[in-house]
Amino acid sequence: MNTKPYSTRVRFSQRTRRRLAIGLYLSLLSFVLTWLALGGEVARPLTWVFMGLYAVLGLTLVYATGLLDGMPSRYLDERQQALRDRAHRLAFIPINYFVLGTLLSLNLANHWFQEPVFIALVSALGLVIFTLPAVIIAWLEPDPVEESALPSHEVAP
Amino acid sequence: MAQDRLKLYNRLPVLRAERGLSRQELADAVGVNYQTIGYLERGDYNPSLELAFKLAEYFGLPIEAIFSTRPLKPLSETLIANKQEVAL
Repeated sequence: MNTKPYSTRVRFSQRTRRRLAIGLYLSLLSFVLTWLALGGEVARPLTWVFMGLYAVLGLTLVYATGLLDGMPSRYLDERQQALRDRAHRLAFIPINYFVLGTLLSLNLANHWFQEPVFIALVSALGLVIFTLPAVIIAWLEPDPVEESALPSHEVAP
Repeated sequence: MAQDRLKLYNRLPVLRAERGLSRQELADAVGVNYQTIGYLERGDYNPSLELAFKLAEYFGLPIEAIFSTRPLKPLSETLIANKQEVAL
């Protein structure tokens, strides 16, 4: 098994990567606004253009970041793993609010909150979002070390 | 987003140059991406204790000869100062 840290052949400067990221979300915003403003059949050709642009920019950005985001830990060194985990941590909260906001907006439009399944699932999602990181930490963190439990040679005089 | 962290100075570029090593060769020797070596040299990344030990072992030097929380003097200057201290 190859466990050597992975590198893409071409490296992108931070400035280029940031421009790609801005372009990516501008194309997404254009897609959403076009859909909202025109809607249906009229908007479809334009939205395909923006979706295509989003796909191209997205794939370029994934390559530009060295495919770090989806790479298994065994292919990444300590810095790359820390960067990947930090990115996931920073993305976690906005995505949560986006998903919850989307579901609540859909409820306002469709009155799904009258359906028991919807109430149960959205409530569970809302509750899990706020506790899952703590649950993972609780699961992974080893037992605390008591001062008295230290062997004598490990205690500073 | 900037994180508050200790500024760590290092002699990696000098040690690498002295041995005629490329970043890729040093990266392969200690099992990291070559960009990580570049970020270490530029002070953009502080190594884990494990990586610091690997680098120290590779160069055959104590960790404090490679990394320091204070700006490092040239190695030759430090050696002379140490010799003078021993002579006194």
